[in-house]
Amino acid sequence: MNKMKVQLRVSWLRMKLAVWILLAAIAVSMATGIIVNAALDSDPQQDAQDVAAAVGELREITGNDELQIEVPSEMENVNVSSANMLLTLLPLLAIILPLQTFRPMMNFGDSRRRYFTGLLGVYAVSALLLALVNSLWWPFEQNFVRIYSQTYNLIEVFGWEQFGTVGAFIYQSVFYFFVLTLFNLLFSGLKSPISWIIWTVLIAAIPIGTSIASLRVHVADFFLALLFNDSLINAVGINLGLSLIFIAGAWLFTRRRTF
Amino acid sequence: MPIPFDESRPIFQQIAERIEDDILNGTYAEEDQIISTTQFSRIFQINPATIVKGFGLLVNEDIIYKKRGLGMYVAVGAKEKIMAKRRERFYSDLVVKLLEEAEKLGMTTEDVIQMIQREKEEQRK
Amino acid sequence: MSSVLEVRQVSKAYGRTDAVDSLNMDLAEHTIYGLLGRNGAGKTTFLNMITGGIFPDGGEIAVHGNLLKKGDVPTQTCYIREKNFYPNNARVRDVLQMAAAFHPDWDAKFASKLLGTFKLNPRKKMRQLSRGMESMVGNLIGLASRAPLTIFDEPVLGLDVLMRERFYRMLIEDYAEHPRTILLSTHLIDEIATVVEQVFIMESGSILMHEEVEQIRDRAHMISGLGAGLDHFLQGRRVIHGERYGNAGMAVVYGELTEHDHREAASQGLTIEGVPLQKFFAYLIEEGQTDE
Repeated sequence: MNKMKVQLRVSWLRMKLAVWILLAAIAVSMATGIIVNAALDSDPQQDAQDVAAAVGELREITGNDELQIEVPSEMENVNVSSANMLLTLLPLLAIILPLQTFRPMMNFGDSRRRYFTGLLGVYAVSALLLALVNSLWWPFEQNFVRIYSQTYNLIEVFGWEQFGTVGAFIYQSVFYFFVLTLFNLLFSGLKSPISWIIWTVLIAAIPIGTSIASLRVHVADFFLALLFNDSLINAVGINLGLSLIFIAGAWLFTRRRTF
Repeated sequence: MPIPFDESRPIFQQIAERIEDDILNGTYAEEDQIISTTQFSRIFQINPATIVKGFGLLVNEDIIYKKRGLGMYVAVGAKEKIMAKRRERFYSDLVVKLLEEAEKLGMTTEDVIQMIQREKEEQRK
Repeated sequence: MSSVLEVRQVSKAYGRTDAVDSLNMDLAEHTIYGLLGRNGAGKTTFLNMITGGIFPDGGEIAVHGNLLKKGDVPTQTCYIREKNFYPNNARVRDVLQMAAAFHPDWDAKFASKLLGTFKLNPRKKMRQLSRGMESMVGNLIGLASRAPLTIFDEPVLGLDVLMRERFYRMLIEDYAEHPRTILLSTHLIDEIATVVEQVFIMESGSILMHEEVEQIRDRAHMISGLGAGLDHFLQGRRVIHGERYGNAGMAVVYGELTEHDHREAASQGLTIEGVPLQKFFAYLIEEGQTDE
């Protein structure tokens, strides 16, 4: 066993419980989705008539002719794609690994530098794997799952399908890596005051960025460029560029991180 | 199974004494190989450096000698050397103290000699 | 002999309290050292610094001749912590395999032999082990690592007598065949008294004494007798501890006593005895405390 294998082993031992819980949750949600949809077997027109009749009855009982009930036009259940639910692993990985694997690796006698590069390796592989799973799931979801239930998938929501299968895979990979490195930055230096500042800035940025109109445009632009970019090359550049900044920050925390 | 050594006295001296005892009581004859440092260290759980020091004491007194690559051997005339050394110590440690104690108790040298003779006769019976 | 560890004026403070205060230490090749001190004397803080876990506020540390910079972890070093951090859902067997990856001198055969000696079931998970067995896994790793610098922090805590004995026996046995530098940190002197060659006695973040154990046995004396004669005899000597009862008293002194000293003591009616090590350390630490 070499040091990288040890790190993978320790990472798996720490993630095991979270992974099993997540897989169980996905399985349960898939099963209930199928059952509920099968039981409802709904027909939108029939639903609308039923609602109108019910409203009429209510008006008679209450004597209130103004009474209205809002009915969503789409009555069907809309689910997150099962492959997308797996993406919960992104924050989970980048929270659990820096919090739970640093000390065991140091305890074995690992150096901070090797631990950190190994950790980045784990993130890179995880991003690629999750992108691959979703890419493979995507055609299956379109052609099979959607007969039974209405789902949405990030590939479609962010319009990544415009780049083709390989393009969508690349976009996903870099975005997932971005998410991993962001969380990793936030959870790598919890003992450091600089980390507390980053947390504060981030938490403050959300209400400020959304409430001030002039800023809101920039915030929207930023997310458009990050997620809805029409140029794959630009998207890769922005995502990886930000990742590099987060990695640099996390390394500054890790190289001085105490046991 | 470590045999309790006297913790308040240097252990290397006690190790040397132990080997001397073994030579006196015939466990080791002249030109016999004695226990190795490693064995001694393992059996009594004592740092090998301490044992080397203890053996060194005996080497300096020509009681044991080192055969290169083989180990430690009992020197010719070792027993006599030890006996001579112990007689010396018997005098300074036991005889001198005995007489000092006797003096404290108001006993004369004759009283002490008589006591020794009485004990010898008891043992003969 | 080349230096395995060189520590110069190392300090570490937590808030206003000095955990380690301008400490110096030199460890040579192929020697077993004891680091003795009570709980809270700063032993673990010190060990964490020399193994790169935490960083000193000041001073220098060099391991195997390499200066330890902030954030560095020394190579050729195995540090077995008092509380280990092996993943608790890993099996003993896996923990050993993982540890092996970090120690180039690891001896897998010796490791599996030790599993038997220490009565450890390799299929058990770490969380299923008692406190003592957990310590034994760490001790096993420390021994099998054969690291040129191996450090054990309170290795026998929570172990029964049999297992303590077995650990020290294996340590001595393996050390005889594969000499290396070993530092044993403990508050229990009795068990390591014959195992270690030299001791560092630590109290309140400083080294009170660094000496060969045999030297201490030779130089620590308890002298008792009448007060007047005792006072005279103690003049100019290092008195570690003293007690009076009526017009008699006793004192623990540290230093070589010559034939002449012995005769002088005898003439004053004083008796000289050796002092058991544990007692001597207790007195020494007490003395170090009242000095503050």
